[in-house]
Amino acid sequence: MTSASLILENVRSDLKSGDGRIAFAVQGLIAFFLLSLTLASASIQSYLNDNLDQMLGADVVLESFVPLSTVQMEELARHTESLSRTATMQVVLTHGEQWERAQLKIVDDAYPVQGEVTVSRVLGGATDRATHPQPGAIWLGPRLAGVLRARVGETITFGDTALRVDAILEHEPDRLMEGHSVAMRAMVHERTFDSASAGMQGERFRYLIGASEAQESAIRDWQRSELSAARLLSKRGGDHPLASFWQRVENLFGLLSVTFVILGAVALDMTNRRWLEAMQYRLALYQSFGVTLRCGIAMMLAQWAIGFLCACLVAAVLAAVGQLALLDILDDTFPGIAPVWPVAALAQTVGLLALLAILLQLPFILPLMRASVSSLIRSEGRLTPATLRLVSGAAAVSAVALAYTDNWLLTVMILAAVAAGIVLLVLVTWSALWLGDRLFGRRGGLLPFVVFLMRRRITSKTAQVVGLGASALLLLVTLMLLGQIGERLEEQRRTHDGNLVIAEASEAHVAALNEWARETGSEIRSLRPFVRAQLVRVNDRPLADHAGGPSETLATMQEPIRLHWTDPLPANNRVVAGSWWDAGTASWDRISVEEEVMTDLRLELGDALDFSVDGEMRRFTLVSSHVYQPGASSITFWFQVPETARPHIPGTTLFMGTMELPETAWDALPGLWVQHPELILEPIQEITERFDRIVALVKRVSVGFSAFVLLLTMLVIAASVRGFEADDRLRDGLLQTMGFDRRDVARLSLSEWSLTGALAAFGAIGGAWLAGTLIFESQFGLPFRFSPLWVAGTLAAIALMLFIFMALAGSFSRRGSIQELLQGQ
Amino acid sequence: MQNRIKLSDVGHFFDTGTDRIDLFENVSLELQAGRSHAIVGPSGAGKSSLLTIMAGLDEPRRGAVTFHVDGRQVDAVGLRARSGFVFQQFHLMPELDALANLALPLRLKGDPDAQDKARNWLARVGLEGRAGHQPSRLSGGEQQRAAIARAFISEPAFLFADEPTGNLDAVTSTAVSDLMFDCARESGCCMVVVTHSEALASRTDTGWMLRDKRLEPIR
Repeated sequence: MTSASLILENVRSDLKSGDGRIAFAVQGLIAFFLLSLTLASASIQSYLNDNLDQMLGADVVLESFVPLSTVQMEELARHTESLSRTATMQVVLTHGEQWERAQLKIVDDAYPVQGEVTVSRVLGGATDRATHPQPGAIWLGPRLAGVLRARVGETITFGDTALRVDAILEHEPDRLMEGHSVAMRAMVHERTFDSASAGMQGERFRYLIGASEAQESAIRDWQRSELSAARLLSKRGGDHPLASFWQRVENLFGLLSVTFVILGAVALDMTNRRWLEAMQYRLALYQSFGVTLRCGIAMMLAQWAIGFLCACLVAAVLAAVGQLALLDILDDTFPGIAPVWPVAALAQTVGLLALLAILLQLPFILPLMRASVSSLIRSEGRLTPATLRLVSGAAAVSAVALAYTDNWLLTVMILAAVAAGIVLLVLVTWSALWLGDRLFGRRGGLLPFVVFLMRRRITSKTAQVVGLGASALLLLVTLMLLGQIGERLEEQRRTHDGNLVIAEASEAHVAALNEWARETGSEIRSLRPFVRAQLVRVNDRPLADHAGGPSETLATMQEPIRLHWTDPLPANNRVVAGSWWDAGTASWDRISVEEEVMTDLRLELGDALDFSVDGEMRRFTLVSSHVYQPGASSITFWFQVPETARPHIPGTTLFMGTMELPETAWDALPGLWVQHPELILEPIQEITERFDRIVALVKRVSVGFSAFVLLLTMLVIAASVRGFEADDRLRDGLLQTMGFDRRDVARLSLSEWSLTGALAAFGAIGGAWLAGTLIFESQFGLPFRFSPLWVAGTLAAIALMLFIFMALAGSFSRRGSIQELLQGQ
Repeated sequence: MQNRIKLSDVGHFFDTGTDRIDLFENVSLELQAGRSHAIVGPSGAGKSSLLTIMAGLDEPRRGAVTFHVDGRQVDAVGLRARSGFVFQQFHLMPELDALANLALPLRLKGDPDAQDKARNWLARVGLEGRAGHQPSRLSGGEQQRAAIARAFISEPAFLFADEPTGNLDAVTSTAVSDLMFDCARESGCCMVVVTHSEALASRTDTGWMLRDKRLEPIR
């Protein structure tokens, strides 16, 4: 038999053993998750790239939140032969008794630059090519037409302007710029408003440009120097507006796989104990046949590598099949999405998996390298020091965190919570066993004897408790975190001080609102001023460069945010770093930033922040960091400046707040919108519906994720039982020679496992509480409510499952005669 | 007789799935307190199986075994509660130190003086300096001395030894045999030894040879 066939034979026999199968399943599960993630993400990114080619509506799009000046327009026009300007704004359209909020796109004569607009005459009818609506006409999206019950030829109103419905808008070539927005849509010509003296207004301005590569390069240079707050999107650059969003989704799931790596590390640590013994024995035999230690170890490594690759291969096949199912679900969001097989990305993921596997295996390979022939033959069981195993486990977890994190605060929180949970489990185990041993002293009986035995096996028992406890903790945190986020979101609506959110209102709107509130018996509960401002530079560096990697926060910063001014610290905020300003301070250029925003954008106290406000730049010095605290209004601002700053900041003052409407006032809302169609009001019920969609998604994700954690937990339990089975069989055999019958031994085993389970559960609850406090309160700004009943119920279910599983595993392992137990058969 | 074990027409075999292997048949004998017995024979004859049947660790396929302890008939569990075992592989619990291994049977019986008695026995077998050492740090001879002390610590009525010197060199074997016989004599227990060692077998009061499925007295 050649070495190669011997290695293959060993791989086969290892896969037939319980330990081998557990290790295979652990590696396979982690590989399946990460490979599925890679495949799904690659398919989405590929879809977005194709999409970018077809749906940008131009070679280059310049997006800005303030309109370009005449000079800037002239400058831009010098670089291109085809240029179209569009603006979008949120409005309310009414048709008889029906009203609906919609996103209105205002286009010019040059629209579209590339691609086709298609329209139809009736809902669901045949489509025709078109360019843009005529002045005075409006095209409605199919959903909007349906909601307004408006047909082609009828008239709808926007404020006091009557608009004739000319067509149903089926497709816009620059639809991509709206991303996944599901807003109701409508389109009008810009000259529609000339007659109504409304002019070209909007919240978001897009300039569609036809440009060669050279022209694009010149436009990019010009934009960088003249319009740093604007964003340039190119067909050639491949930077789809949603690409970074999906990158972040992939990152979040990758980060969550830290959980799997921790559980996998625990399971592998337990099975590797026996793997090491078997390898030592095998190496001893090989060496007795004249094989060198180096060659023997090379064979072991090859055998391990083949096992790992087999696990990856099986996982890859399953992931490929799983991807088809996943894409079927994603087809709702990405119509026509097709699977892709990205070799480079898959190789990268397999590389990461190999790194993880090597890190977790290394502590068990090193003793083989150091071992002498005689110690191998005696099989003295050189277990790796616990410190090395811990360090290598921590390195594996860090590798995953490094590969996927884009939110260091959340990452550190998760890792800190897990680490704190493990320390807690170790402390609970040691102190309980030490105290128990002291307490029972020399007393006889089952429990004292169990405690005595466990105290003597404290290292292995601690490993079991930590393994089971960490699994229970992660399962608990997963269920609690994902489940309660939904619950908290739902609760949030009840903490709103009102039933209508004023999302954005001008001073004129506020006056109208006050008037309307008086007429209808409504009440404005809160109203807080702000201007739209975009953070452009930090310490004279572009924001994206300063912030480093992508993050949720950075993505939000691509658009103007609300800059609020206030002298008193809002009741729902507290300062966590730096100091708040005094009322009426002369130093108006102070700013306070929310803590998570600071972390994600890598801001520090003393940083200079440049904001673009209404086309002008204003610089503020970061002096304070605040966080949301529950108890008062739910409206909080990321960026806050002193009241004395207001005279120095350009831009229109807008307001955000809440109102309480009596039941009778709701019917009067359309009247208000007819007068002020740009007023953005969101009934809490609509927000709740959005929450419901999020909650449904969160629930679906949590079920899938919990199933994964549960599977790995089962493997940890199996590994735990298998890992100490030989010792337990010897103990059980010996006890029977001393006069214990099988029932006594079974009782003893179950007592020991119950105590192990109780210690693990106790530690897990403590850990979950820590995690809840650390993550819930600081990360999500949600009041963390530790529900002992919920936790106890969940743990009881987990404990029952553990008990049944362990009892089954225990009873199987105790089969056979006393002689067989003693001989370890 | 206060303590005795009686085998009547005992036979034993095991099935391999396709074949049946007969070990011995029609074995009848009586073991009494205060006596030592040796069972010798070629490998595979079934010596260890016969010992496990005598010790109540296994049940015979044919015939009957009865146990009397302190004048009362007891079942196998009752017998084991008053027995000690010495194995070829020592079978000390690896995670317990020498002192805890010795104290184990007494603790199981709820003896509050388990630690003190274990310490005395350690001194008696010359291992007082090794109390805190785990089995992996003891030599083969030391492990077997600890195992003998563990077997005698609960004052057994019967002691069963399966190749107790099988893993030891000649000098250590003699020392371990001396210790075992001294302890058995002092306690007045009945000792049954399965061995390949003629020297060890020659020291017992009675000797049997198990060969060709038959047990025959040799002394």
